[in-house]
Amino acid sequence: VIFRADWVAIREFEIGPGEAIFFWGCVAHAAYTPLVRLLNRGEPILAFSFLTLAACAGLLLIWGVREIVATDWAGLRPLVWVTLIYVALIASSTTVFLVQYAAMRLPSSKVMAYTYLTPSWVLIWELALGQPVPPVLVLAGVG
Amino acid sequence: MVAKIWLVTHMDLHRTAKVQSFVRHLKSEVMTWPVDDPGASDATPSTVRREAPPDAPTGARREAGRGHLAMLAFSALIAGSFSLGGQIANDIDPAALNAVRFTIAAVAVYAVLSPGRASARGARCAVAIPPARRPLRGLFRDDVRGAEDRAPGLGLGGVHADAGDERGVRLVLLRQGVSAASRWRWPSGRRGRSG
Repeated sequence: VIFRADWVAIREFEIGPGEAIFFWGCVAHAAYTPLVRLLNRGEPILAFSFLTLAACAGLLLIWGVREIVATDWAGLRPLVWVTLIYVALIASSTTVFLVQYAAMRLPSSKVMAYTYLTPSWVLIWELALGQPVPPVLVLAGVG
Repeated sequence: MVAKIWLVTHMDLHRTAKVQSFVRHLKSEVMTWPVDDPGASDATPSTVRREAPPDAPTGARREAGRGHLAMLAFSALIAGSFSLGGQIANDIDPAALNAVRFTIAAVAVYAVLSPGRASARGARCAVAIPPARRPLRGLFRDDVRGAEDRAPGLGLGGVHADAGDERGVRLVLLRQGVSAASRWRWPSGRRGRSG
């Protein structure tokens, strides 16, 4: 769970030299889907997702307590909050549920194969977000 | 008439050594049972079914399709976090962002987990579990100890197993009006996976 969170952080923010950590992140991430199948013993996927996210949250709150205290939460740009809400509700709650839902129905290799599709989607997202008058950003209240 | 036997155990117990051993024992026993009606050629004399609905192939394909759809949505949604995340990477510490992110995410999923959903699931459960043994909002697996004392499960009967940390499996077989109940115990010293 820790590595999974690290993997997300690394992929999103590209911090540090990264490669060694990234390697172990990949190993842990690869183990994630088979482990979902192995460890789920009939719980509803939502319950499984909640416990995964709660454990993530607990570990990260302990690990990042100094950074949380040091952060000037009131002074953040609106886009930071938009991103925070997006990654929380869409790119955590929803995607963790989707991966676990798929992992219970597909072979693990097929589930992981879909991660290769992500870069293509990133390009589409960049096109949508990077235009001179980006409609998504206007909606987000940034300007 | 060929008697179909449904082996009903709790989901927590399917894979335990004792249940699997019992299934093997039952299969070998059933092979020796006489076949009353040779005309029923499509039904095998020893039918021990476990979670195999009649439309299994079609259902499995539909489930796989849902899995693919879920992962397609996943790849599109996760990509958005890279685009957005890249733009604000220098504005906030990643540890702080992710700690708050997963806290919000966990709270959101907990809100979706309604008590009604958990009780609806319990109502569908083949083994009768009293409400006190269904833990918080269906988050954890049911406590099946004592469940075997209730009425037999689906259809004509079933095997009612004790929880993983005990050793007994109780067989309740109601076959053509004849009820037979026996207590089958794993030999002491050998244990299945517990807990």
